[in-house]
Amino acid sequence: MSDDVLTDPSAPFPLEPFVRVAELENFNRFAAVNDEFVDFHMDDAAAVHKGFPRAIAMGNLTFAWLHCFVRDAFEGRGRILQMTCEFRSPVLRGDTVTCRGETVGIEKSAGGTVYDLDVWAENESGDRVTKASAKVVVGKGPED
Amino acid sequence: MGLITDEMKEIIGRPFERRRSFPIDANSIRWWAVAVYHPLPPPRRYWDPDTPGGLEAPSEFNPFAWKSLEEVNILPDGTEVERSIVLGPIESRLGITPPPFKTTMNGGLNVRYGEPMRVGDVIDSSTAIGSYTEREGKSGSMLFTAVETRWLNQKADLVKVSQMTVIRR
Repeated sequence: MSDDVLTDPSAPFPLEPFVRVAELENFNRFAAVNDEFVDFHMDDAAAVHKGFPRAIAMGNLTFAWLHCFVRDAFEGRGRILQMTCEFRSPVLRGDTVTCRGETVGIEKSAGGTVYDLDVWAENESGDRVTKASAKVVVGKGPED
Repeated sequence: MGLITDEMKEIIGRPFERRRSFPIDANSIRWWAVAVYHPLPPPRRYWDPDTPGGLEAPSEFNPFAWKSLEEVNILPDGTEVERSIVLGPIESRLGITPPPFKTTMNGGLNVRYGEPMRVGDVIDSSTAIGSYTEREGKSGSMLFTAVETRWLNQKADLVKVSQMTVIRR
């Protein structure tokens, strides 16, 4: 990432997309670390029984991917202050999920610059399955 | 509609669940990071033992996965009982009749982060119902429940405040 972005605090942060394929290898790893073993996240038949076309990703996993996206975009230089999200539609097994975002506000605070971001996760059809917003501080964070 | 009973109103704002995590360990941080970044490797700061300042957990890390050191439900009369392992409506776990719904969905999350979590930290969690709101939807009545959780570390630093919206219909 160019240091020009950090030296010009009025410049929006470039947010490179974060892409993952929603497959069982991701669901299972996340289930293992979050103790989230639910049948419709692991088995297509169980998901169909619940009314889904096939197994669906955990909302917490999509939420985690949005965090990864924001962290990677700031390359470890920023700290996430807030993340808000709405789950609009399920992420189906096999979907390619792309997290994207844009800077909608920049504000200087005590010791740091706070970036307001609109972020979202979309599937391969471009449908925004999760809508979110985030605040990230670069530099020393504001005192609460 | 009348979905919100007097019993339900009485538990608004009162902590109904308390948990204390085991001390956070480096392996748990590494496993979380590997899982959420899979199939690519996670950033070095989540697994390299030589990371300046020590490993720091990703913001969304859950220190309460796979059991907690303490887990209790707090009943309306203040009695603490072992947290129910039977997942069901919050109201049932508190000995209150839950509203009659067939489906429950996670309507969204609003999380504010404070002090990062680090190896050795012990996190105390307190959860309460923030509000109940009734709405009429296409398929009938819906109940929106805001569940608020606050995490503090062993130094009483605020680690996280989160609000989850549970939609029941």
